[in-house]
Amino acid sequence: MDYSTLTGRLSIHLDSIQEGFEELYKQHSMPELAKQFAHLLSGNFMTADVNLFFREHDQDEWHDAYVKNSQAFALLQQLSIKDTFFIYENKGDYPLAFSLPVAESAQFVVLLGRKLNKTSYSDFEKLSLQMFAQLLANAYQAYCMQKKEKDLIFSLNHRIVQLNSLVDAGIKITRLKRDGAILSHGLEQAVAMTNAARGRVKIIKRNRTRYLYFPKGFVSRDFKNYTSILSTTFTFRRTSYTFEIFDKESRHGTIDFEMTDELLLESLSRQVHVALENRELGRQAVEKLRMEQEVAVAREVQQTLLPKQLPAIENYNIAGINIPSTEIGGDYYDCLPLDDGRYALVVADVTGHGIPASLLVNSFHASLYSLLNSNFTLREFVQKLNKVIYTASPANKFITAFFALLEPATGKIEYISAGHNPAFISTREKSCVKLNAGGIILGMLGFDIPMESETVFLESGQRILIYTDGIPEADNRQGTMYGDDTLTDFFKEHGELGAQEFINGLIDDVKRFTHGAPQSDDITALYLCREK
Amino acid sequence: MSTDFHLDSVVQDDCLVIRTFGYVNNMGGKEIVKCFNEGFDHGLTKIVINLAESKVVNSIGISYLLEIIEKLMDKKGKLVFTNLEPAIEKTFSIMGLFHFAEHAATEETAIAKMGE
Repeated sequence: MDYSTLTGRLSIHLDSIQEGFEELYKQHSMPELAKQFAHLLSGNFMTADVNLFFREHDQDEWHDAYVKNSQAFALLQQLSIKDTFFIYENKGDYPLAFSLPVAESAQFVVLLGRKLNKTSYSDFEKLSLQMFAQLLANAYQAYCMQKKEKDLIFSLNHRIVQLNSLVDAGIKITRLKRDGAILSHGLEQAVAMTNAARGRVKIIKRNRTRYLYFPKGFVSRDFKNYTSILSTTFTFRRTSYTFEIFDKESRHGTIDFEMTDELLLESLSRQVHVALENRELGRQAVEKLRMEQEVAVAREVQQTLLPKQLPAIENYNIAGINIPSTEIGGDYYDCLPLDDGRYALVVADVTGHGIPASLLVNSFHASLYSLLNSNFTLREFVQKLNKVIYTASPANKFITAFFALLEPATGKIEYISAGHNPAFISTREKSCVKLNAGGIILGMLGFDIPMESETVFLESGQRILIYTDGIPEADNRQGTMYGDDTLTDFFKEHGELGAQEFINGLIDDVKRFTHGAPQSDDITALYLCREK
Repeated sequence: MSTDFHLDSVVQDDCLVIRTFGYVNNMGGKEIVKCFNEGFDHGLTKIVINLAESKVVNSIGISYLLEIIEKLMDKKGKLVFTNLEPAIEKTFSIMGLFHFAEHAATEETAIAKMGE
């Protein structure tokens, strides 16, 4: 090839353009693209001083794309830049320059310094400069397309990451043990997924406000100035939680949040809300379980206070029953042999249910045992017991009780009803008398309350029923109570039954009446028949 | 404006090891690229980025890491990430970073990978 001919020189430039395009096409960044193009021009135009300036839009400022000599910018300022391809010929250090509009409304200006061999640029070189300019325009267009393609792939991948992170965050949040950790993780994820620069959770509880921040180095004053903000609030257990994220980032500065960011923030906030609720429900379930365990233990203890077997009393037939309701009951019954040969029949009912009632039953039981064999009269005994109960019981807990002292040989029964349901005693005429003598309930007043005892006699074939209000007040699903009259009738009509059969029959009758309705109160009864 | 992000770097066995601390976002990404460029301009093309103290990375931060990968690909360099949180590892995987970069459990194993 004869390089002194026009054809030869053109051939060199064409080869160089071909190689140049391959090189330029590989570039991933504007600085590298400009640098490679400058090198290409240097080699082909024999000048070491090539400078490229670039602007993305007509109205933008020019900025350096590749600058070999800082003085080149001064010439750029002097040029009246056209928005078309145009070759400028100048005197001075930059004899040749051209403006080049490229894709996406962008524009280059290229300034070429003096040639190394001090010669002027030839017409051929000015002509071939157009080919190199076209090469730059093509390379830039390829760069833009490549960049768009990369941005699109990046954006699609980013959406997948957002969805994936949302799912993962939901799983992780539900596994966290502390409320603070749940809120912090929700905040971190909200900031990261939306490309926010920073965020915080504002927590308002009883007019007191506190914050959680992300990233951790940020403090309150960093949130006073911002360009964009997104927030969402929920309230849980009288506490308000506001998630706020600030300044959506881009490679070119802060931008506005998008609809997707709003949806992401709300989704994360909802996940946090649900997690806090679930933790609370979990706490309540554990507490309920603990309470149920305690109640089960207390019920077990209380059952040990009730007689496993009632004493056999010669010529008498005795039976008793206690059916606690779902909670721990406050009912009590017993038949205790005394040192003097008598028997004490006791039925009691503590107001309310649960552990406090159970504890009071314990106190009652212990006091009963410690006082029964003392040489007190029945009235004194009940008064002493009242004082003990008054001291041991909380202000809203009282005991109604029925005490009867049986002298087996004579059938003499001395009794006191301390605010309790009247016991029934049968008469020879197959009727019944209600035993009402006594006084007020135990534990209400802390002094010797007036108590009147009464004496009755149980003769052969006669019976006595002592019970708690769980029997007459047992109600069915319609809210109707079994009632005193039904109980009285049952008592009158079933005198032929043995003690255990009577008790069983009575309970069956009550159950028939309530017809599966939940038992609202304890049921207790003590029944004594004199056989001979 | 406060920030929790900072980094330190060390050259070890011809590798530039960059250790980051805090949220890798726009600011963090810029800092990493700046540190990388300083090493790259001195001819370092084996890079280890230890993210042990960075638990959260956003997509702007990732775009800077991709920029590093592209530059290294042109020079046939190598990038290995280490001490990645499982969530970050998954994110990098979805974003395609591991098509062009590797990951290792520790800096030592990352440096050992450079010779492979």
